Amino acid sequence: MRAAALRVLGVALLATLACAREARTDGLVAIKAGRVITMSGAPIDGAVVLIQDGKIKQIRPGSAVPEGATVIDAGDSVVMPGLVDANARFGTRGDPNEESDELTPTFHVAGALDRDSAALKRAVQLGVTTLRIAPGTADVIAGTGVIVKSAGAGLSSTIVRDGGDLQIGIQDEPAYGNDIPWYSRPDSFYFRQPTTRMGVVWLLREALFNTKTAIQAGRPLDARLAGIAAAMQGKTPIYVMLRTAVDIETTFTVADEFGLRKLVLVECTEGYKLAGDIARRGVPVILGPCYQYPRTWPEADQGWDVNWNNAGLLVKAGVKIAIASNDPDTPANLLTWAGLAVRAGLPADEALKAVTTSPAEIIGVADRVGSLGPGKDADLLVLSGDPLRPTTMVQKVIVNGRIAFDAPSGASAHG
Amino acid sequence: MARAKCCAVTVVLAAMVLGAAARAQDTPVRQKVAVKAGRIITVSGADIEQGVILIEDGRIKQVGKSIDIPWDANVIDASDKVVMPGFVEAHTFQGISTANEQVLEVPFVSTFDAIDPRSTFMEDSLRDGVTTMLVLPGNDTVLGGTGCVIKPCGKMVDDMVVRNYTGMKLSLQPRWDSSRMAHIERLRKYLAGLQDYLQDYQQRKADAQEQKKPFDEELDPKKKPVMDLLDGKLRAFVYCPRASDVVKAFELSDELKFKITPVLGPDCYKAAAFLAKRGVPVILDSQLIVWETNEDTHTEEMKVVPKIMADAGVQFALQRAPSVYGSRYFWFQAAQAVAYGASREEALKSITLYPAQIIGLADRVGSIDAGKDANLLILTGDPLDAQTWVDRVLIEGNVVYERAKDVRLKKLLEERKPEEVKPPAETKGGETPPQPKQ
Repeated sequence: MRAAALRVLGVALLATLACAREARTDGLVAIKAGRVITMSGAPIDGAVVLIQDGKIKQIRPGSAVPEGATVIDAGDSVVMPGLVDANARFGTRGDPNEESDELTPTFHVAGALDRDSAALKRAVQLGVTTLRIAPGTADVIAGTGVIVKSAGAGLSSTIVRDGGDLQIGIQDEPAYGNDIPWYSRPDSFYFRQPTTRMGVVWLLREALFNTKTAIQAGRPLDARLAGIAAAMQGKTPIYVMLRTAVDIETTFTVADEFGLRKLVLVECTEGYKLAGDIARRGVPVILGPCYQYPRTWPEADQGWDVNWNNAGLLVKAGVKIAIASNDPDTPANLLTWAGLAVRAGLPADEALKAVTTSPAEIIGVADRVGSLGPGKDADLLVLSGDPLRPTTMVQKVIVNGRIAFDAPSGASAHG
Repeated sequence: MARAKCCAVTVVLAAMVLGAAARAQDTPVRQKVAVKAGRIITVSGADIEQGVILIEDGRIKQVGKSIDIPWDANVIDASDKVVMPGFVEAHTFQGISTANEQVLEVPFVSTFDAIDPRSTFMEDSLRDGVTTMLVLPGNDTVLGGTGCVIKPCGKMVDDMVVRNYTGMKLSLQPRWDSSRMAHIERLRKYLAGLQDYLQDYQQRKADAQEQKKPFDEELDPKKKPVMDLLDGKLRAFVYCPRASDVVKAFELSDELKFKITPVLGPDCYKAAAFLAKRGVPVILDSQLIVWETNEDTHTEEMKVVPKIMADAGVQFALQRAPSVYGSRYFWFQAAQAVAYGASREEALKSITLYPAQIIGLADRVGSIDAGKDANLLILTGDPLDAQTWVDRVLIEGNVVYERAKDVRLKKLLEERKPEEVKPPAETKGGETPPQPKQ
């Protein structure tokens, strides 16, 4: 509370003291860390992270703390950047899947953002500070996601960016459950397209074709087409929800047909099979959810060929990867997933990148989050030990310079 | 009886001869094995650095630092590795064809009849270091049936069985079409019916004796497991999905005087104080972290069940969740407990010694001590580290798993190139191409 008050004071004084910025100590928070993993350089053993106005001011070796700073002593702990979840599917109110239409490029997840959702509050405690909340996966063109901080004082401080991407699905999922009821005709209201994977791809092709012809003819684009056009012209990334190798091949075929440039593959369970192709095209991959075997129907039915070292093999081929939750309504312990990926063969430094810098770069917010350095957002974690060890716990989470989670300690901890 | 005995002896002899023949064909098994270990985690006592475990006829003969290795012992060199007892699972209903009967009172069924040696669950369990597990029926019945302790290796169920007829599943989880009241009533009704039956039986027996008539009526075998439960010969594994069910479970066990091991649902952390008072070891749900919404502060509170139980003084055994990333490993479950403040010793015991005690096999498994079965894990590092792999598994002194020979694991981790289409092999005239073996 005191820190918050000091911070408000700091903001008020910011305008008047802008020229004397270096000398200011009001609202200054100093975190004494046993080890700082900056992700922008080598880890520093024994350092102090200085935070002011929600940003990192300086990281300096040693333990000297400037006078007047509020000190957070994490001398036995490890400090690292807050985790970035590049494809979260929680934090919205209601079903993220639109049922009335298969093509909803104008839909913004921001419209359903629920900052008060339990899942978001849980995600903070698991160390996630920035997340891109993605649209649902039941539509062919699902809409555009929203990038948020997991905690913040108001909506404006929570939202990092609304929109700026387009999510499509090239897999069977948009076809699940769609069939022509026996009692109705194909033109019935209840008849939903698509019912097959072919239909999914056809609807996508049709939408892309319509946009392309509209652009070529110089026709004014309506909102629907404008969203697709921006993605087609490479202005915004296209997040493709897919799992199997066939899905990846189809994606590349369609991408070549329409000249789609900025692709991001999401989930990508069988990515390792085409790691070389993905690397050659320079397409980043967001992995997750992680599991050892296909779980239940329909996954098992589709015969997803799981490789425990999917992440490792993709990185080996030169693909930029992120590890994300991508599970409906459930935040993930991304550090655990990263640790298990290392177990399967991913190098440890790559695993840390996959939950910090890489997702930040993929979703286009690396200038603010994902690593620690002067001028970056003060989003950081205080951990009890090595981030990739399963015996490590998240002690503190700081978002925008404020403590968003402070683990209870002693006998009452988690009790 | 004499004939039966003679028969049994013949069978045993035959089995020994056949077994010896089979073994001779597979890997030669010596009677004496010595495991040189970098570190021995005995679980029951202190760790031993650079120790030796001497095994004779499948049992641990000696554990210690300076032990002379007999000249005729087969030496397993794990001097750069960590050796610990195999994990013990006190409750699972995986690895059987269908876990639940449709009928709710089926105490007479046994998982022994449903264990599938070929299920991937068995293979995975071995790969993950589980050497002993109690397979019980599922949680969707009232009186679910009896369990069977197995080791997850063997081609036939009989090879896998460590001890049959262990534990009876009672579930307090009402089925979808039933209420908690009706569910508990059903259980009581069955037990009351059983008591009536027994009274009638005794009466009939007494009547027959009085009238000096022969009495050859046998007790209903369908009811026998419940009688054994009430006689204390079987232990009840009572599934309690909610904290309130825990109280009910103990009410029943007090009333009917049967031995009880609560199998807890995630909600049961609320019953920690109650369980501590009762002093009965429990089996925790595989979900170790429960989120609870604090309605006053609108915050999400993380409840770490093993930590709460350990603080309350409740002894627990951990379970795993075969389909959950991470939680499918016992070491991961223990590491989670440690991360949030449970002690390392308790966490290691909760996947070895405590479950062994719960299933009544602590004299054979659960720790590295002289006299116990040589069920050992040879690990590449510390058990609670994610980068550690199970390198070898010994069950009763035999190496039953070797990571170096684990073809499936290799396939799950290795690069796979798209299959090349090979041109058809040329066949010379008159020769038939090789046929695939059936």
